[in-house]
Amino acid sequence: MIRRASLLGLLLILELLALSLWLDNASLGHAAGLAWLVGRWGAWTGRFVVVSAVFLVIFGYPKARNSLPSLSIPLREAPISWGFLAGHFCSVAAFAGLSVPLYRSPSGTPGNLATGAWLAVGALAVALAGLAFAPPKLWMEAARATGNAWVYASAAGLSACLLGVASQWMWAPAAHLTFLMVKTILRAFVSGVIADPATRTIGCRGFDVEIAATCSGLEGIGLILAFGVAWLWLFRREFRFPHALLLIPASVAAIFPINALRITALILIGAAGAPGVAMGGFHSQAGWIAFNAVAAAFALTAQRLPWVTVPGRAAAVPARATENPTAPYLAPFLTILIAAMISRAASSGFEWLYPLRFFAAAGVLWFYRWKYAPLDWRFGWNAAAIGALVFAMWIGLDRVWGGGANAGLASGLSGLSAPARAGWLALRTLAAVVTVPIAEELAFRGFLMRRLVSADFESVDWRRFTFVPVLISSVAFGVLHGDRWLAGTLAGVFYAAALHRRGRIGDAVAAHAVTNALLAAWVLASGNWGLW
Amino acid sequence: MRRIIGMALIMAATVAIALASSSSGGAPEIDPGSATSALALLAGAALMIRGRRRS
Repeated sequence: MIRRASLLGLLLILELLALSLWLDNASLGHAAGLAWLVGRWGAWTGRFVVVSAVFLVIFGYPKARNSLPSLSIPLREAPISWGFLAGHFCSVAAFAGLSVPLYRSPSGTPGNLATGAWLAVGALAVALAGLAFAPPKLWMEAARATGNAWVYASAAGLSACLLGVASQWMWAPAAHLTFLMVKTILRAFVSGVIADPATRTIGCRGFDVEIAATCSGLEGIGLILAFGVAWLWLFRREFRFPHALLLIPASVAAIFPINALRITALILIGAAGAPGVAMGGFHSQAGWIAFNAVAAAFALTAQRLPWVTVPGRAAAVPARATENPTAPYLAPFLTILIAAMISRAASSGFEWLYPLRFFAAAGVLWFYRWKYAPLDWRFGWNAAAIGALVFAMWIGLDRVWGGGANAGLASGLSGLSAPARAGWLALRTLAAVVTVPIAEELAFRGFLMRRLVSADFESVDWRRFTFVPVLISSVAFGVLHGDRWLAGTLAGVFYAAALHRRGRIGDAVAAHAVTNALLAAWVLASGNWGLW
Repeated sequence: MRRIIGMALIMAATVAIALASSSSGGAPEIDPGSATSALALLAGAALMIRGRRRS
C-alpha cells in the first residue's frame, strides 16, 4: 500500500518538476481571463496542493493505520492498470501539447476555452494516474478510512500558504543582518570597503553588489529546515527526542553565516577581476553547494553522533567506505555532479574546467574497479543499434522541439588557443563516451531501477523487467537532461531495454556510449554546440 | 509537548517551501535553474548515507 502510494507520488512529483522547469507562469502575466488566473495563482495553487498532500499523509496516516491491512490485501491483488497508465501518459502528452499555445502564444492572449481544456486535461492526467495505481473502490475506502483528515489538511495547507505570504516581512531584516555580516567579513580581507546600508550595496575595488531580499539567507534556511524535518521524520525510530531536534537549529545556525561567506567570496572574485564568474557561475552554484554541504553534514552527524541516536537502532557505520553496497553504483555519478557544480561555479558561460568531470569520475571508477569486476560488461551489436536509434531520436526531437544554441561554449572555444581547444574537446568527448555512460548506467539502471524493485537491490536479477521502476528511473534520468527531458526519458527506456535483453550492464553502457559518441561526432562536425 | 514541537517544525518547513521563490526581483540565493542537479546530488548522497549495511 505504502509502496504503491509512494510510486504514484514519485511519478507525479517528477512530472510536476519537469513541467515546472519547462513552463513559466510569468509569461502569462499579460494574459486575460482564465489564463490570467493561472498566471497569477497557478504557482500558489500548486504549493497549496503539495503542502496539503503532505499534511493529508501526516493527519491521515494515524487515522487509517488500522485499516491499512484491509486496504493492502485487495491492492496487492489488483495489479497496476496499464490501460489507465497509458491514458495518463496520453493525457500528459496532450497537456504538454496544449501548453505550447497557452504559454507561447504569439498574441499573448490565450482564450478561455483553450485554458479550460488545458486545465481539464491536466486534471484528467492526475485522475488517470490515481486510477492506474489503485481501483476506484480502494480510493473510496481510503477516503473513508482517513475520515475528515482532508479538511484539516486543506486548512493546514491554506494556513501554511497564508503564513508564507505574511512572513515576507522577515526578508528585509534578514537581508540587513546579512549585509552587516558581509561587511564585517569583507573588512577582514580587504581595505576600502564601500557599504551603503540604505540600499544594502556593498563592494570594493570597483565591484559592488546589492544584497537583495532573495539573497538574505532565508531561502537556504527554508531548504535546510525542510530537509532536516524530513530526515528526522523519516528515520524517527533511530533518533532520541528531543535531543535530535537540536540538529535543526544547529543546521540553521550554520547555513545563515555560510550565505554571508558566499556573498563575501562573490565580491572578492568580482573585485579580483572576474565579475563574469562572480555574477555567473559562482552566483548560480554557490548557494546549492552550501546547502548540499550543510545537508550532508546534518545527515552524517545525525547518523554518527551517539547522543542523538537510540542505541542499536541507528544504521551501522562501517569501518571502510567500500563496505557500502550503494557507493560503487552512485559514487561515480555523484562525483560528476559535484565536479559539474564546481566547474560551473568557476565559469562564466564557457565551462573551461569541464575536464575536471572526466578526471574525477575516472578516479572514482578506478577506486571501485574491483567492485565492478563481477558485473557483466560484455555487449553486442544490438546494444550499438539501440544506441544509434537513440541518437536518431535525440536529433529528431531536437529538430522538433529545438534547443539552446550554447553561445557560451562557442565563444569560449573560439577564445582558446588551438592546442587548448583540441585538448578541451578531446576530454569533453572522452567524458561523453567513457565516464558518463558508465557512471549514469550504474546509477540509473544498475542502482535506481533495481532499488525501486527491492531494498536489497543487489539481489534483483538484471533481466527482471518491471514497468514502473523502468519508467520512474527513466523519467528521473530525463529530468536531469533539462529542456531535453522527453528525449532523456525515452533514452532511459531504450537503455533499460538494452540491459534487460541479456541482463548485461555492458549492453546498456555500450548503447549509451554509442549515442554519446554519435552526438559528439555530430556536434564536432556541425558546430551545433547546443547539443552539448 | 513532543507532538507540538514536531508539528511546529513541520509547519515551519512547509511555510519555508511555500515561501520558496515566492519573492520577486533580484538574483536568488538558491538558483532554480540549477535545482535539478543539486537535488539529484542531495538525493543520491542521502541514498548513499543510508545505503550502508546494517550490522
